Parts: sequence; structure tokens; C-alpha cells
Amino acid sequence: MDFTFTVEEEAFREEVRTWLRANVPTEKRPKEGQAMRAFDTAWQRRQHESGWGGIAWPVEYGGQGLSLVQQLIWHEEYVRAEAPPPGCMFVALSHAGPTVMLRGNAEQRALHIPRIIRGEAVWCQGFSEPGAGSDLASVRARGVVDGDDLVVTGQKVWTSYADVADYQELLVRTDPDSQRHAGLSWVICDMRAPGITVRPIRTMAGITTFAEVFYDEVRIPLGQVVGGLGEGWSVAMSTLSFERGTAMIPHQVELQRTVEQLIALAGEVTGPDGRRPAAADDEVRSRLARLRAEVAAMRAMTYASISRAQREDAPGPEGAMISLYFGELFQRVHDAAMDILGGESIERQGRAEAWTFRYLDGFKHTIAGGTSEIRRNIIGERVLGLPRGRA
Amino acid sequence: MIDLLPDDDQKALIDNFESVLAAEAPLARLRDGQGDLALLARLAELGWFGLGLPESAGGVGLGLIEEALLFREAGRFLVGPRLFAAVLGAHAAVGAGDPALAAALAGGERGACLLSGDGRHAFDRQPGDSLVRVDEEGIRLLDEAALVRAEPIDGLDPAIALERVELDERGVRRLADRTLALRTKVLVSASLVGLAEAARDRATLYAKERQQFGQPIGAFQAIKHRCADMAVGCESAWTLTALAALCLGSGRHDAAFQAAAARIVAGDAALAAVRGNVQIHGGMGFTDECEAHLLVKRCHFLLQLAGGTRLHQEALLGEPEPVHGR
Ligand SMILES: Cc1cc2nc3c(=O)[nH]c(=O)nc-3n(C[C@H](O)[C@H](O)[C@H](O)COP(=O)(O)OP(=O)(O)OC[C@H]3O[C@@H](n4cnc5c(N)ncnc54)[C@H](O)[C@@H]3O)c2cc1C
Repeated sequence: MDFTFTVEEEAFREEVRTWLRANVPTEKRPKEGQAMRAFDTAWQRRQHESGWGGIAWPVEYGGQGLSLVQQLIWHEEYVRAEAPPPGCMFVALSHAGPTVMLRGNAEQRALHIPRIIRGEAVWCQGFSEPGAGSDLASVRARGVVDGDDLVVTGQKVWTSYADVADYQELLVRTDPDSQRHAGLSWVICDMRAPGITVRPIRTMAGITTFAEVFYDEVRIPLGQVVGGLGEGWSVAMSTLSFERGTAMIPHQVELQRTVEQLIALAGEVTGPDGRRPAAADDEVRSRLARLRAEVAAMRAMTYASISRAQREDAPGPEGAMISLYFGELFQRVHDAAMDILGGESIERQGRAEAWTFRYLDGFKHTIAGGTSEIRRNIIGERVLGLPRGRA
Repeated sequence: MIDLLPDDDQKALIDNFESVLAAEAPLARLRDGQGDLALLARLAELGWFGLGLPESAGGVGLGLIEEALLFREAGRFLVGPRLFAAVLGAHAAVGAGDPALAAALAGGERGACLLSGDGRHAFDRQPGDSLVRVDEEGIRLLDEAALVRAEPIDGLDPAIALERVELDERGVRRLADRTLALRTKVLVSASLVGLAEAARDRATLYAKERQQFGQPIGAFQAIKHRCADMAVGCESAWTLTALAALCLGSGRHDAAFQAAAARIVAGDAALAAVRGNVQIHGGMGFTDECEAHLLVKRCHFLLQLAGGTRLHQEALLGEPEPVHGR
């Protein structure tokens, strides 16, 4: 066991820090719509032009093929430099791109990979449906082979950034007689194809970052099926092995920073006694210390997951532990922020703005990408070996 | 290199700890009121007390991380607090330039017992013991002569002989530096993790075996999710404890931060796990016969061993945020 950064890694940190300091955009990132898209893609282009466009991507695809520790360093410095999140580029960079690299054919790779890394194409992920959320294998959107096309009819929902996306990784049932995981296909869907209707949905935080998507006999050339008809489930799962638990590192590093900001906030706002700063209150101190300690534990879990990924190719069910821990910790941090803000917690302006936004937006962290309940099921059944319930 | 998982040597060490303790430290032993004296004599013979001591003091010369691995297993098997006294006492003796005393403590030829950080209690004391007291500032190694009064009292943990003591510390023999206070935090954290893991494993095993409504109770999500929370608690607490051990072992600037944080997280994880373990055992869990309560009682003991959680919270708030690089 070891916890040291090598001389090369420290040098790498310096290099990254210098570049980020000079290049991180200073304008505020728009939170939604075309303005957001323009901002996110421009930032991706800027990173790509300097060679930082795909730190986790293999060199042959224009990436840097960084080691996991280098990726960690990149993300630490990224957060420290207050660089903006990848936003609507996230699916393309962390899901769709890697999936096409791993499972796509030469033509698909040549068409899509360069456009993603150059920040020219925005992707979204069309997996969830009204009837298929936690139970993703019950996908019903149907794809019927007709000549050289797949004709898709059905509905997707909660599709992040669908309103600004060029392409969608779309999971459809192409074998009508199939059940569950069999008979699904992973298809590249052009979001401008006739028959697609995108209806944006406003979130509880007041922004419009996801949408429902309707498909009315949308014709998708069969050449856009990735990994072969009926292989959709395994293609969808292959992204996970690329990710190796690193995609969430930026959020984890960011949360550490948030807790430090919360400690600073508690020194500024008036505490529960109405006289002294909140940071002088015993209960507030106890909570802040606990949050600080838990963030440290979350960071340690990140290091442990990197350690595991360095030994194993496919990530194990342990990944559910850090996702669960992060989501709930994020919410505890912002619950505390609301209490510390006290009377100001009902404001969405000024000093309270960032906190109240994140408090509301943070509800997603125990829902999106697998709810806390599903994660606990995975931990109980696959980490601890507890029996599944009777259906 | 960043590697929080044990290498092959460390795995062998863990296996060795585990197989010895599984054979020689069944929890039933805790009912005979012998304060683990026989077990600890055996562990001294095996050289375990000197694992992290330099070879010049008769130790094995391994790191704090290996010592933490030992205390994690010891926590799992509820090994008595004289283990802390022997190991910490030996380190204090080394720090004070007395390798002979260190070797005697590590070899078990000289006995040592632990005092609480506030100096009010002694644990499993034997005649002739050196007394080891650790608080936030450092460690004190006292002669028996420093004991003005010792009055046996009933303790929460039935397996630990408790005395209320009064000290005259004018006879303080040694005072070592703060890193030993941090080492203590790390080792207490490791013991708490082991205890939490024992509770997690017992709860999970019972949840697989006990049937109600025609299925194992572990199939019910209320039970399954509580076990899952124990697993997450153990994972968070152990990874942070290991990180703290590595940081302190290599003298990183954030060692005090990580050690305090580890103690807080491990304390919370252990308390939740030992209590959940009682609940998952139902009526059986409430009995004296079931071992679940032994874990609860040991947990409260460990939580006070190096100062309560609130103390470590204040220590943590006093540290700067750990940032990598310059
Ligand atoms: C901000 C955000 C962005 C998203 N982006 C995308 C996206 O880009 N693409 C995409 O495809 N999807 C996306 N999703 C959808 C997300 O993956 C689903 O919301 C999630 O999988 C849960 O499905 P559901 O909403 O249908 O809830 P349901 O599955 O209906 O769950 C409702 C409640 O029941 C519980 N529950 C369900 N099954 C079980 C069980 N077996 N045991 C115990 N409890 C259970 C859940 O935990 C939850 O509390 C996004 C969601 C959010 C919030």
C-alpha cells in the first residue's frame, strides 16, 4: 500500500496547473439552452487544440491516454482552477465516444470520434423511458427493420441535453418477441431526423436540462447500429468498463471544495443564537467537522477505486458504494448549508444563490444514473451476497 | 504510487493475523473475565507487538500501515486494550531513547496497561505494569509508582477490567511527540473498522440464514439496505484509515487532518454497524447469550479510548484543507 505521487506526476501537476490557469474561461457558464451549448463546445475545442481534449481517451483517437493517477491529478487541478464542467459534452466524451471506440465499426469511428473530441458534436443518452427507469431492461421503444433502415417508434424521457444534441445513443427493442436484456439494440440516432420531437422539461432547480423525446417512425440507417442487432445491452454495459469509476471524480473533488466553502460561509453568517457567527455554534461545528471527515473518506474511496482499477479490467460492484456515498453526502452538505444560511436560505439571490441552487439541483444525485435504493440493492446483493427478493 | 490495496506481503500478513485470531480468540473467551491475558501473551510470543517497531529495538521494522492492519484484525476479534498499551508504550520508549524498555514491552516481558486520555481510568491493569496515557499532545509512559489510588469499578464492557485511578504525574518518565498521538488515532480507527466489519459480517450472515415469511430476512430491503449501509460505512472508514496510516507513515503534511477524519468516520461507521447488528438479530440480538451486545459495548469503549468524537471534530476543524502539490 502506498500514497505518494512520483516526481513525474508532480511535474505533470505543474504542467496541468499552468495550462489551466492560462486557459480556463473567465465568463460565467450559461446553465441551459444554445448559449450553454456554445459555451461547452467552445471550451472543449479550446482543450482539444492544446491536446487536453480527451485526457482519458486513447492516443490513437486524439486523446492523451493518461494513467488513472494522471487523470486524478488533472481533475484535482481542474476543480482548483474553477474550470467549468463538461456539461452537454459529457455523454459524448464519457459514454458515447468510448462506446463507439470499443464497439463501433471503422466507419462509425471515423465519422463520430473526431467530431466529438473537436467539440463539434453533442450527444445525449436515450435509455430511460416512462416505463423503464430503474428497470432499464424493460425498454419498449421499438425498432423495426425495414430494408436498409431501422424504423423507430416510441418514447424516451429524462434525456439530458436532448434539446441541444446532434446525436443520441438510443436503446431500442429490435426483437419484438424478446424479453428483458435480450433483443435490444444500441443505435446512433441523428437528432435532426424527421419524426423526432423533443419536448424540454424544466427541473425542480428551475433550469431546462433534460427532455422527453418522441419517435414517430424515425428511419435510422442500419449502418448506425453499433455492435450488431440484439447486442444493445452488452454494448450499453461496455461503456462502464471504459469509465473505470473515473467519470465521477470531478464531482467528488468539487464536493471537497464545497465543504471548505461551507466552513468559510459559517464564519460569515450569523448563527442560531442571532449574535455570533454560525461557526461559533457547537452543533454547527460538529456537523461541519463530520462533513469534512466524510469528504475525506469519499476521497479515500476514490483512491481505493483507482487502486482497484489499476488491477482489474472490469469494475466491480464496489463502484456502487462510492456513487451512493457521494450522492448522499452531497445532499447532507447542502442540508447543512440551508441550516447555516438560516433566514437567508429562502433567498435565491446574492450569497444564498449558489447554495440554494445546488441544494435543489442536488436532489438528482440520489436518482440519476441509478437511485440510492438500486445502489443499495447492488451492494447488498453483489458485494455482500444477500439473496434477491421474491419478485 | 497510489495504491490503497494490500500487496502480496500485506495480504499474507492479514491472513496470518486472521487465522491465528480465528483459532485463538473466539468471542466466548471474553466471558471468563481474564482480560485477554493468555491471548496477549501468545501474540507477544508471535512478535506482533513489535511489528512496527524498528529492528534496533527488537521489532520487525514494518510500517504504520502494517500495524493498522494488525489493529483492524484485533478490532474484529475484540482483542483487549493491553495490545494498545504494549504497542504504543514500546513506541514511546523508542522515542525516548530507551530501546531496552521498548524491547521488553514489545516482547511482553514487561507488562503495560492503558490509561484513558483524561487519566481517569485504567484498563485491564496488572501489578507491575507500566502505565500508558495518550492524549492530543502526546504520550506519557508512567511507572506504577505514579498511581496514587486505583479503585475497581463496574464497566460497560464486561470483558475489560475497569479501574478509576488517581495519578501523581510528577513521576512522569517520558513524554514523546505528537505523532504518537496521531498514531493512536489511526490505530483506534483501525480497531473501530475491524469492529464494524465484524458487525457487518455477523449481520449479513444472519440475514442469509434466518428465514421469516418463507424467505431469508436478507431478501427484505429494509434488512438488505441496512447491511449495505454497513458495507459502505466499512469501506469509507477503512480506506480513510489506510490513507491516514500511509500519510502519517510517510510524514505527509496532512497526516493530522486524515487521522482525525479517520477517527470520526470510523467511529460513526462502527457505532451504526454494531447497533444495526443487534437489530438484525431480532430478539436473539437482545440477549446476553448472543454476542451482538459485546460489539456494542466494545464500540463505546473504543470511542472513548483516545478522546470522544467531539474532540476529534475540533482537532479536524483546526487543520488546513489538504491540497496536493505545491
Ligand atoms: C437529472 C437527471 C438526468 C438524467 N439523464 C438521463 C439521460 O440523459 N438519459 C437517460 O436515459 N436517463 C436519464 N435519467 C434517468 C435516470 O436514469 C432515471 O431517473 C433513474 O434510473 C430512475 O428511474 P425512474 O426515474 O423511472 O424512477 P423509478 O425507477 O420509477 O423509481 C421510483 C422510486 O422507486 C424506487 N425503486 C424502483 N425500483 C426499486 C427497487 N427494485 N427496489 C427499491 N426501490 C426501487 C426508486 O429508487 C425511486 O425511489 C436522468 C435522471 C435525472 C434525475
